Amino acid sequence: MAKKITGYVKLQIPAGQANPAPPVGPALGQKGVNIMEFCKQFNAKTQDKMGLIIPVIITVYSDKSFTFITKTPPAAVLLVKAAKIEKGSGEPNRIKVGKVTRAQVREIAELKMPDLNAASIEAAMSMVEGTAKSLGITVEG
Amino acid sequence: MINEPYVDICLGVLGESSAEEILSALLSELGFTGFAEDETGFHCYIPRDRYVDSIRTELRQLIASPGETGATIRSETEIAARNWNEEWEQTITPLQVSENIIIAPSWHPFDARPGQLVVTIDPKMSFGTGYHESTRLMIRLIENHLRPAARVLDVGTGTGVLAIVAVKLGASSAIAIDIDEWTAVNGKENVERNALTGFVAIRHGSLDVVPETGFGMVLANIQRNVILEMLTELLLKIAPDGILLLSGLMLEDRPTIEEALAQNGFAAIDVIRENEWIGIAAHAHRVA
Repeated sequence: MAKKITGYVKLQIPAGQANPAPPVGPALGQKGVNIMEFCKQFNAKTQDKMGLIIPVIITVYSDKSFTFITKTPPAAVLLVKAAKIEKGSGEPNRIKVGKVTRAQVREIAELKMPDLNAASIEAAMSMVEGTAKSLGITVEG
Repeated sequence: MINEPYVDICLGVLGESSAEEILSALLSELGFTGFAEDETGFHCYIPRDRYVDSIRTELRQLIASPGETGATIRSETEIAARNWNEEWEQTITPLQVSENIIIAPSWHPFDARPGQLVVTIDPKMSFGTGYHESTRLMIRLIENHLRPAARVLDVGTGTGVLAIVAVKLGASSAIAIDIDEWTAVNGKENVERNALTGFVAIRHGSLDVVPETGFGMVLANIQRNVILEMLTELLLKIAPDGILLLSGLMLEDRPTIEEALAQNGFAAIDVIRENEWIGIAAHAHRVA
């Protein structure tokens, strides 16, 4: 018989660097999950993406066991890294704070394809360009 | 630091879900360390000491600007440091981790049969309870490869369980280190619980707090990238006829680790597996 699901936890945490501090500790601790085991597994599975924020959805079962799935890093995180800017702009239409090339947009779109509801790479690129615009990042080329 | 106060800033986000991605991208660049989404809003976490006026101002400017996030600050709550794993830890019971070794919490005494070895571990938000494959693999490797009276170095000790097991199995002494202060304190408590003060020394820090060399056995249950980063330094700690035990590794990590070992003149002599995790024992290539 399938185990009963008691809840889902949605987090965004740095790849390869999960630890029991917030948000992991409060979010999983109150559900009685072994936080240290989650951190060990998450870090082992995401260490190749060090330096990036990774969205993770954790399913918690009635026996306090858990499973989790990680998603690709958010397009916004990838764009900020690609533009090599300290932070995005709060006023995207007024202050352009960084630039990325169309090739970088394609690269990000290709990485994001598994998580995007996009029919083609061009459609995915269009979504990524939309996010870039929100961040105040100009797409060149 | 895993055990320091944090601030939880709960944002209401009116825009699409991409708004949360934009916020996490921008706020992580400001020093926010993680985010959680629940029915009350989008929670952004930062260590209290890092939440200085300049960051506070930048956060408010970001929220107030006419971008597409449509976010508002709903609440700002300080979160005191505590043992977040306490609820799970209270549920642990004695666990047989190998044919003869049982790990038990102090509040759940275990009557050992002749030949069984009981290790008392109260974890307190530290890794190393025996409930994870990587710890069990290490214990099996220690049982198989420890030479009597060897001196042991345990890197990333967590609860101190591996160093304690090694000494209980016949190592003359162990030095166990952890970069997290909270964990090092827990390791010392567990050493005392097992009446091994004087035999297991817990130190807070990285390999630079270990000037000693010539260990008969070096243990590292960490993760692939960290092991690779410190491998050369780690190998310098091993006696010429000593052995290295590695864990915290997944099946797919094996080729990378074995290649790095080979580049340093070491070779795997024993690789064991439990589920998707592996443990590796290695020693220096010996010239015939």
